[in-house]
Parts: sequence; C-alpha cells; structure tokens
Amino acid sequence: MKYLISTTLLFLVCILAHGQTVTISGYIQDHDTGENLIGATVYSLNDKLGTTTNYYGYFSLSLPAGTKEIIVSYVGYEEYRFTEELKSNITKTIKIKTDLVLEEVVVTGEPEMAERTQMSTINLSTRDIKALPALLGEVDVLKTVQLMPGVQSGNEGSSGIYVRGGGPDQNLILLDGVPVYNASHLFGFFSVFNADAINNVNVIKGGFPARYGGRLSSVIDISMKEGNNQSFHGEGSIGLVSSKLTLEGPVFSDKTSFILSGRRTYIDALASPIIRAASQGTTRAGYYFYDLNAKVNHRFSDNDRVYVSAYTGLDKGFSRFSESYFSNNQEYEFEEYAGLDWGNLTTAVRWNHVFGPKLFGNLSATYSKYEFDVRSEFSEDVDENGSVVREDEKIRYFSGIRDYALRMDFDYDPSPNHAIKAGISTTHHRFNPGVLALNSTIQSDTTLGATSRDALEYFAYVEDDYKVNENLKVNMGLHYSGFNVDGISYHSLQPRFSGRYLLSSGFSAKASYVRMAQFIHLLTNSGVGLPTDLWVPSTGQIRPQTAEQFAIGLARNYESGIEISLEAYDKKMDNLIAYKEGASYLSLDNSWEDRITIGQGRSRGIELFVGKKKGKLTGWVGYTLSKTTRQFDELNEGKEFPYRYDRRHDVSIASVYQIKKGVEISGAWVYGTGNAITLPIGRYRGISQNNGGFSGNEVQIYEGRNGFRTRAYHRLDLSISWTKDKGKRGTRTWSLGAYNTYSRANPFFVNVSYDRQGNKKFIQYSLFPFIPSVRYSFKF
Amino acid sequence: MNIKSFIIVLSVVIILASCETVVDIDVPQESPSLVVNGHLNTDSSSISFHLSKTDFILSESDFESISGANVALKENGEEVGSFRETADGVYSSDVAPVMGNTYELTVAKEGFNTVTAIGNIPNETIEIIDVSVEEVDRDGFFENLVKVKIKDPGEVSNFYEVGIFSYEPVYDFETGELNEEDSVINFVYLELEGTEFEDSPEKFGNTVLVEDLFFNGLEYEFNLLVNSYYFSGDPFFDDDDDDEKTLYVTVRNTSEDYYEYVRSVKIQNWNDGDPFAEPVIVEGNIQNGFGIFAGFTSNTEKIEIEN
Repeated sequence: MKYLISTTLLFLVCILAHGQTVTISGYIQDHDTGENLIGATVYSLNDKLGTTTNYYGYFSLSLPAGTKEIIVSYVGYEEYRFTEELKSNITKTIKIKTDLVLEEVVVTGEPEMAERTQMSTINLSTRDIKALPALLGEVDVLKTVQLMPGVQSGNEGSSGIYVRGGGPDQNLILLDGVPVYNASHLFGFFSVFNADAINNVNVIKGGFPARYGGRLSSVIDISMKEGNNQSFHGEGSIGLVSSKLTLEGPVFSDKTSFILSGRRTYIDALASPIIRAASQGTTRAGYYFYDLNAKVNHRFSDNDRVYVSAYTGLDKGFSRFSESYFSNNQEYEFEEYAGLDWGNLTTAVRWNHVFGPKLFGNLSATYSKYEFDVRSEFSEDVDENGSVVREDEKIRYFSGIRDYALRMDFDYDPSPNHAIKAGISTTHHRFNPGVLALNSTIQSDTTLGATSRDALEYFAYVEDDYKVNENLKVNMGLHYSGFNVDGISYHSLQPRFSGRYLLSSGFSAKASYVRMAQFIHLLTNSGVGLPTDLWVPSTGQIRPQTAEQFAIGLARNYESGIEISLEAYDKKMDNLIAYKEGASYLSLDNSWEDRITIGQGRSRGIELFVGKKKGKLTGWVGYTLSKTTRQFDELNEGKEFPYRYDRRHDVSIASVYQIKKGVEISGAWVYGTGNAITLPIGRYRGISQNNGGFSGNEVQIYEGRNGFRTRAYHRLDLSISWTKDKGKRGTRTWSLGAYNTYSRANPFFVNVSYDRQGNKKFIQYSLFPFIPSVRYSFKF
Repeated sequence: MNIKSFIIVLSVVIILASCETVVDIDVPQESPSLVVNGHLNTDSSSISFHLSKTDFILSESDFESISGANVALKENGEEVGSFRETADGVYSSDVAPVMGNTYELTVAKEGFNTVTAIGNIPNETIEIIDVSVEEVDRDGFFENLVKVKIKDPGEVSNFYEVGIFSYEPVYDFETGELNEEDSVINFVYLELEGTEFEDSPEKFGNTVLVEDLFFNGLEYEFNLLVNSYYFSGDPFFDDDDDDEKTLYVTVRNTSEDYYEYVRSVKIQNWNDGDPFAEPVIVEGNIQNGFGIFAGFTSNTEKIEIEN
C-alpha cells in the first residue's frame, strides 16, 4: 500500500513539474459506420509525440501550445492529416476512411510495434480472421489466435489455447470485458465467438499491464462491434455447418446504435429425419449450437456514453426414444430422453464518462454464468391392478459458475509523457461443482453432491506508461488482488513492468517482468475443452496458482510495413493442479480436493514473428522454439515430465493476397512437433476374482509420463473468395476452402491395436483428411 | 445415456470418418520382471500365488508362467511354511491366512530381480445382516435387485469388494462331461445401483468396489443389479433345467493395497482406447516386480429367493 501511495505521489510531482500544456482529446471513429477504433494512433509531427486510442476509441494528447500538424493512422484506414492551432484544450471526434486502395502502401511517419512499451502482444483484425481459411468454412477467432508464435493449439481441430506452456484454464478470455468460462462449441471444434459481431481481438502473452489479472498465461481481449450509427446494414452467410445473420444500424442517428448477430448450426436439421426414418419413427436425436450477440450504445452527450452488451450461446445434444404398444386393449407408452446442454451467458453495462480532457472513466457492471447440464428421463405406463399408471424418473447432473462483477477504471493523461490507468474491481463468484438430482415417482427424490461455494475476488491496480526520455519508455504498474472463500483470504501483490529502449528509429529493445495469480482452477481430465470440466475455487487445501514471467526482445518496423519481433521468455508456474493417477473424474461429493495433486510448471522459449499488415499481401510467419515441463510430487514418481502440449518447434505461416479487386486468396500452413504422450511399454497377467484369482485381464505397464512423441503435425489450408459489388444492394461473396489440402494423416491419438494383417502395432488415429468447404456471404 | 457414452458415440462418429495409420514408435524392450498374483483370502485354507513374467507391449504370446522359483514367507515377521508348485507357475503353501496378520513374501528366480511383497489382512470380517432379492424393471428389462445390508465399523476406513457368484461344474474336455465334484467359483456380472452418473468402472463388473466414505460407522445397503438369467438354472449347459440356481453373495473387507490395485486395473481397462483420458498407472505392492499380494476377509451368504 505504501508503495502505491508513493508511486502515485511521484506521478503527481512529475505532472505538476511539467508546466504549460494544452490537451486535444476525443474519439477516433470509422467514417462510414461510426464504430470507435481501438488502438488508433494520434501523432503530432511537430513534437514527435503521440498516443493511441483506448478500449473505447478515446484519446487524450497533451502538447505544448502552438500550431500542430497531427496525423491519425490506423491499420486498414487512410491516413488522416490535419492542422490545428492549439491555444486551449479542444475536443474532437475524428472520422477516418477505410483504405480501399490497397495498391498504394500507405506509410505513416509513426512506427508502431517498435514504439510501444507493451511486448508479447498481438492485435488481430477481423479482416485477417475472416479472410484466412477455416475448418468447414467456419471462421474462428481462437483458431486464428493459435497461428501466432507462442500460442499452441492442443489437439487436432480443437480451439483450445495454450499460451507459453500454460494450461487452457489460464487464459483470461474477455468478451466486452466479461470473462467467458468455456469458449468452445462441439467439444472444442469451434469457438463461441462469431467473427461478424467482433470488432477487435487483442492477445497478450506476457508483460501483462497491471489492469489485467486473475489468470496466469494470457489475456484474450475481444470487443464486440458497436453497431453502425450512420445507416442500417446487415451481413450474413450460409455455410456447410452454420448460417449467420448480423443486423446493425442507428436507432437515433449519431446517438444510438445497435448490433444483433446470430449463428446457428443445422447438422441436426439434416440428420434428424434420417435418424427418424432409420428407427421407424421411434428415435429422434440431434445436436446443435447457437450464438447470439447483442449490443446497444447510446451517446447521452459528448462526455457520456453507455454500452449494453450481451452474449449467449448454447450447445445442445439430445436423443428421444418413444414407443407404444397395446395389451388387453390398453395402450402403454414408453419414453426415454437423454440430453446434454452447456452454454455461457455474459452481460455488461458500461458507462464511459469524460471528466475532463485528461481524465476518462468507465464504470462496468457485469453478470456472467456458465452452466453444464446432463439429464436423463424416462416415463412409462405400467399396469397396476388393471389400471394404467404412469411412472417417471428424471435424473439431472449439473455444474456451473456464476459471477457478478463491478469495476471502475480511469485513464488519466496528465502530460504527453505519462498515460496513467488505475481502477478497482470486485467479483462475486458462485461455484456449483457437480450436483445430482433425482426426481422420481418410483424412488424417493434425492439430491446428492457438492454444495455450492461462494467466493469474493477483488483487485485494484495502477499503471503508468511513462516516457522517460526520447529513447526510453516504461510501463510500470502494480496489481493487487484478493480472494475470500470459506472464511480464508488470499492476497497477492503483483508488480508489472515492461519497457522499451529505442535503438534507432523503428528499432527497439524490450524487456518485461510480471507476477500473476489465479484464484480459480479448472478440473479437467483431458486436453480438450469438454463441458464436464469443472471450475473450482482455491480453497484451504488448494492454494492459488501463481506465475512469474521474464521476457526480453527486439522489435523492428520497416518502412515497407513489415514488422519483426524476436522474443525470449522464461515462465515459472506454481500450485498447478492435476488429477492423481487413477482418480475417478466425475465426482459427486466434495472430495475433489482429495483427488487432485499440486505441482509446478516451467516454460522457456524463443518466438520469432515477421508480419506485414499493409498492402496487397498481408500476413505473418511465426516460429516458436520452446520447452515446457511439469513436476508433481505425486505424478511420474515426482520426476519432471514434458507437458502434453510441449512443442519443441512450432511454425505457422498465414497470408492473405488480393489478386485483384474482389478476388482474394489466403493460405495457412502449420507445423508442430508431435504431442508428448504416454504409451504402454509392457504387459502382464492381471489377477481375477474367479478361481483363486490367478488369471485375469491383461495389465499394461506405463513408465514415464508423456515420454513418447507422436509424429509431427503439419497441414495446409487454402481459401479463395470472390466478392461482387452489387451497388446499392451491397456485396456478395463466394468462398471456397480446403482444409488439410494435401490430406496429411495427422496424429489425433495413438493406441496399441491390430493392423489389417492382424499384427499388434501402435496405431495412430487421425481426424480430418482433406475437407472442402463453401460459403456464401452477403452484405447490405 | 450418460456423458461418457455420449462422448463415445460422438468420437465413434468422428473416428469412423477418420483414418488409421500404423506407426513405428521406438519403445524400449526392457528385460522382463517377475509378476506375482496372489490373494490372502481368509476363506481359503492355504496361501498360494501365481508367478509369471512381464512381456513386451507388442508381443502377442501367452503370458509365460515361471517354475522353479525359490519362495520364502514370513508371518508377522516369523518365517513360516514351505511352498510347492501345484500347477504350472502356481505355488501353494501349507499356511492358512489368518485375519489381522501380515505376510512377507520373497520370490527369487535366476535371471530376474528378486521380488518381495508385504500383504496384510484386515482384522475384522463384515457381517452380512440381511440379503433380499426382488425382481425389478429397469428401462424395460427385468432384473434382480439384490440388497445386501451390512454394518460398517466406525473409526477405520473400510474398503469393500462385493460380488455374487455360483459354483460351476468343470467341463471335462476329454470325457465331454461335467465334473460335478470339482466345481469352480464363477462371479456373475453385476452393477451397483444409483450410480448412473458416476460412470466409474469400479461400480460394475464381476465385483464392485465401494469405500465407506459416506457410511462410516453406519448401516449400509449395497443395491446390486443382476440379470435374471443367472438365477434361472444354467444358461450354457442345460437349457431345459428349470431348477433355480444357487447364488452366493460375498462381502470382502479388503486391505487398501488390494482395493487400489483392483480399482486401478478396472480403470485402466476401461480407459483403454479413450483418446481423452490419461492412461492409468497400476500400482501393485510387489517390490522390483509387478502384481499384487494382498488380503481380505470375507463373509458369504446364500441368496434365498422368496416366491
């Protein structure tokens, strides 16, 4: 606390000492849609000083008084220059136009990556996400993130994210500032984010600014579109797996706009009649998922804006069997139903207020929940002394997590050399780790299982992006967080630091150090995002997970629009959880704490990124060399073992090329060292309950967890699209895609089994061969 | 349908569309170790075990029994008895297992590491208070629900293995007749009720495993579902036989070593071929080798069917 106060005082002294400046502040928006632009650059040529817009598109730049030539730039937009005579504070909303003439490479005077203090950060535009090829043509935000160096993808087809050796539960996935607990559909093959509803995706792998906390390994900050406030528009598409429709427009011009976006799969609609016919009408079964995003924003005045956003999605699988028969002229019915549902709901109300040209504030109130529910029901008519009586029984197993949160953030830009952010937040969690409820006319009703647990999580932070001199800029911050559960409190004070030193124009050296703490854990028995995974809080026995990460790097921007970064990191994680060997997974009691064991993890690596954001050819090449291990006293005899997704080499190349106006091709090639797996090395005769117990089932001998490697993984995806401009009726696009173009048999899992000749071998199973796809999209 | 079957159905759908490749993975062929499989069963009149050796994972041969080993046994630290080989790889002693005692077995054979095992037998038997049978309808199938009531001793953790068995005559391949004199124990398949979502393999099979976590010191009823045909004569040899068959229920109070071993083997077998599960390491109590040499006390009751 003392440190906090003294740092704040130090900031104030710096500010007061700075003297006579004027401030230009306001919003940067898209000219046509009125959408606020996140991370756009505002730069004064005269002073060689600049700033970027915040999460809400707001900027504040304090400069010495005088006539200034100011440049506004943003990737994919035409550069905008204007001259302003700065005598006193002014507020301006600047609208910039999309850069349609891609042939001319626009080079702004302002280097980007090399200039920022923040390292280990990736910003993805929805253009890249939408243009890159995708499995079954289903554009996926998280799978695009997986193509970045330092981010691993887990199993084939999965949208799981493993950042710098961290687990899938260590990612803070935020949708409009609200954590999403399970970002996967269809057992991880698709993620829940509908690219049509998304404005911006920012991924942070290390050097976390103090405003983020609560997870160890990454922040994936996704913001939804705000909705066009100029005119009514829509877009949609029809693909093999799903159809999507997005509508947006002004409610009151320039004041209020909305966006509504939905997606639904229709495998069930196609499969259901077939299953019905095959079972002579007795069985119905299906599987589908949907997503709905909605957002409304209203500008009360230049100083006040309110955003209300919501997301809901659901996966639903079910089967229903029904039959009836006659006996003694009485009809008897029998019905059986099995269902599996899971889904997220997130809602946020956010209020932006500009207190003055230098102070911007935001108040957020959010609510979110994740629920998983399996049910099995049956009902039947039985004969009871000549009369038909209906008996039924319902069994339901459910688990979930529910959050209420309140958060206040401030951006304070006292002088061009300081950008201060500070804020507080509190979240009330309710964990429901597995409840079984039985409802029956035959047996007595029962409810078994763990009682829900409440927990309170809170944090406060302050950070300053401080330009020390022409070459040195640092971001120093402090994040304090706490957690109360079952009368126990955990506290964590986390210093955050990142800095860059300009070696020459557009070339800098960077370094960062962070400590992170995480109070919630994901109990999972597999690497894929199964809905049965349970979120559980830290408890008296299970301490919070912590991590410490150092990174150093070089960043270079070339005038041609190429940027290169080279980073090395070392990350240590503590209090990680895993199931004990042989523990049963689905527990109905509170004994989950006894079934898990605690250990450590370490990941070290080097990441190279070469990207090109402008021009006809855009994209990137990423390479990661890394080593990730885990050590648990109770696993693998206490010896260190490779993490399942430890990948020595990981290469990804992603590129989009505009052949001519309206025709675009894109491709992605990935290569990764095989996953670390555990294989049996021997076998012996087991014991049996029968006959003195001498001869039972075969028992397999495993030695050394994750001691073997599957074959390397590589795959090429291609896509081509044609867009036709239909004038006032908008545009129409046809896209053709090829997943795994050269049909590489990539390892999904390896098992001991028999080959076609009947010999006992290690057999590798692969999931997706070459899969073509087609999608039709429209915009109006 | 429960979660696991749902996932399995989905996986099957996916894997049907997928392809298989034979891969060569360089798995070291380690020199074989001795495998001891023995029960310390207070119902039995002698301590015996089977000795075999481990084999390479990709080998398809039958497990090789090991003869001619040197065996020594200590009961509560005192050297006792002597072993003789009664069948290929089967070593039997003249020592009867005693409740509450600890046995240390040492087996030495040239060419192998000498293995030792310390097995103990819990010091009480669990009395079966009541056994009842009723015919029930489960999802349209008629099954027998066998309710077995016990009183769990307080203060200690108890590990139960419960099974239902019959004495089966041995089929003599030479004469083609049944040898009624020399019958063997045959456990029937059963399921523990009320565990629909538990999904764990210790709750079904030839025996079920239950820990006294929820009923320590209390009376408890095991609800065992058994298919009706096990009760109606001999399904294989004598179709016309309408005689009811005699079944027995046995409640074993096992040592933790025994319980954990049987449980981990069940889970390992169950998880085999599941791409989402971590492989389960089976840990026995044989030092320098594999297998299990551990004990239980048991109580057995005849199941009387009331008509």
